[in-house]
Amino acid sequence: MASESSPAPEIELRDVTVHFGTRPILDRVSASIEAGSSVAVIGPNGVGKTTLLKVLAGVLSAQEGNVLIRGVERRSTPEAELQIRQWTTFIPDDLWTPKVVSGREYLMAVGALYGLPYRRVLEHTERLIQLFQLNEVADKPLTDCSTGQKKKFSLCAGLVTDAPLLLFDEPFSGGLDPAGIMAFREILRSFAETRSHTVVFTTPVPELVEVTADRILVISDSHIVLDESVAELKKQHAGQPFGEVLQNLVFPNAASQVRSYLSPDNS
Amino acid sequence: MSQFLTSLRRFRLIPFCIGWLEILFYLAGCSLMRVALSITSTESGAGASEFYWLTFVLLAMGVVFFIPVYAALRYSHTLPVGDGHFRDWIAATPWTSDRALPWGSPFFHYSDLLLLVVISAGFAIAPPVDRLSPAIPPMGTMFLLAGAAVFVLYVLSRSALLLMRAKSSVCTWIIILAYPIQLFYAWNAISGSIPALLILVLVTVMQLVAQEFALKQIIRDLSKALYACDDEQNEFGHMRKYGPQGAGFGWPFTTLSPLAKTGRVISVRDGLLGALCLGMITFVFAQLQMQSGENVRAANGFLWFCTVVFVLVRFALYLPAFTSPVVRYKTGRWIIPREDRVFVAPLLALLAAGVCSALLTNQPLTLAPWVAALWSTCVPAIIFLVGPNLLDHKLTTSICMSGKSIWLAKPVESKRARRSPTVRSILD
Repeated sequence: MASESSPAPEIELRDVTVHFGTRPILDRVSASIEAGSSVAVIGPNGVGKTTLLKVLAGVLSAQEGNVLIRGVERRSTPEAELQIRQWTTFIPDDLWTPKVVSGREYLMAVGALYGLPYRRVLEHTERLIQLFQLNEVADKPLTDCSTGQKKKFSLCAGLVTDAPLLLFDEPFSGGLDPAGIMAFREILRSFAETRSHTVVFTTPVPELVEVTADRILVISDSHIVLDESVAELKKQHAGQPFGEVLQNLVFPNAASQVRSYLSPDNS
Repeated sequence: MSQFLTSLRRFRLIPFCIGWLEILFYLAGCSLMRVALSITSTESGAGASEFYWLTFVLLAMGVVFFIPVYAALRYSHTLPVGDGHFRDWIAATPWTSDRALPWGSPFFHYSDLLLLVVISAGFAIAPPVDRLSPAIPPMGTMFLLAGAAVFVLYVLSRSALLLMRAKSSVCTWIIILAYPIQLFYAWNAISGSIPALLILVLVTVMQLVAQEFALKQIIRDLSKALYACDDEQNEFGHMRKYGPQGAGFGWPFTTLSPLAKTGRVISVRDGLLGALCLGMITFVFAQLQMQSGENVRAANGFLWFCTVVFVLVRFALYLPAFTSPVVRYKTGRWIIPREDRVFVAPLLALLAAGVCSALLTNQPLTLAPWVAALWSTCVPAIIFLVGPNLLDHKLTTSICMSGKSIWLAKPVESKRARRSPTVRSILD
């Protein structure tokens, strides 16, 4: 619980409950994320990582509870909602882009949508294109791009908005090549170090978390089962590889199941 | 020939040429009729009546075709609104709204009046069609009728063109509200009522004055737009303007656009005046057609049909911001107050329709047009004006806009995006 003198958290989830049919996806989930944090939401497939991100992004409403961004409740008033949209960018795993426009035009258009100065968008777009090695396809229609290139453009679209609060769903999946993974990982690392942006992203891969996040939320059985800083986790499990620590937290039975499968007795 | 046409185009003379061509066509037609009359009158005279009628109808059709064409050309050749090249060109000149437009004035001009008078006067020198049938009024009345018809046709063509560009204002509403009155008096004027004809002309003159003011506003807005130096004009200002509606940005940027519009789609004034206009049109038709109980029953059915269409259209507009019954069933949340407010207006509209329907079938025939008009005013007014406001509702309702639980939002976004102007076109 934040003290009275501390600033309002950047993101606050209050008893958020989402269920599809009889299956609860999130059950009275509460959390608060401070400004400048880089938070990784991890967990096995189908536990509600994407649902949590969609609730934060405002594309899915919780059946109960509410979401506050910078102290403003989502969907409370039109003005509040538009203000939150200005602060937030959500890049889903399945970003839909117009087919006939070029990647450069697309990024320019997204920058314009967030009300940024033309020069800033122009220059930022160019830098992002260089960074993700998209020069050759930047001026071709997006339909001509490969899946990985489209994924790169989608990450660029999130970054070009200059929004202080970035929500990425599975940014490291979807055909991203090693250069792309490295580029985006370094960007997230920079954000975490400088605390210039608040980033929340989901990933099923624990290994990527160590360098990109300063805080981890582990979701299991519709609840946040672990909400800890990376530094604290490392301290608690000193001497143990961090990837292994997360592996054990998220998939406690995975190693034994693999051993069991490969065991000569079962073959 | 092509050089001649180019020079005509350069000097924007085409509308005037079309106008005078129209007169030539008419005069030639009249002369032909006279020649035909002299030939047939010396012979048997059989079939002359049919021949006159055919020629007369052809001439009338020619006038009906030429006058809107003339109005459209006058408008497009003088006003740089619809023509992109003209607009771009004038944007590069020091033109402002207080200066004259380079290719002539788009306002009603004495040359327009001259043209209309000549066409109308043509009827005076037309063959003596009044001799053919007692139903046709004598020549003087014919001239008045023709003059009124030509004038009304020209003003109507002009107002249709202006309404495509004019913003909602008192002037545009005067133009629109004049339509049902014109229809009513035109109907009576056709049957030979001179007072009805005079009122029709008077209303049309009033409409013409409103048009001139609307046109002034269009020119002022154009000048402002050409010289605006704010974000709307420079660099990707256009893109921002189209962004929230254009859906050219794809998923999820369209859905989560920070530039989404808020406020009323239809202002209170426009909603009320629009409903009033529909009421007036209904009154006119009811006054002209509701002569028997059978007609009243037919009108009752038609008005119910219109009410249901209004209600369904409103539902269709609110549907993308509405949790589907499937989701409600799955989540067990049958009532969501924030969303279910959308039922208020349709229910009110149906209630109003029910009351009006009961009145319509139980009142004397003389009151039927008034009740029908009340029905056609109340239902649209409720549909247009009773909340929740669509744009604000979309931003505040507790809606699922993606994922398994929604079966509307995402496909709708995709479809819209496919139909919408591309980002490239917006950038251009």
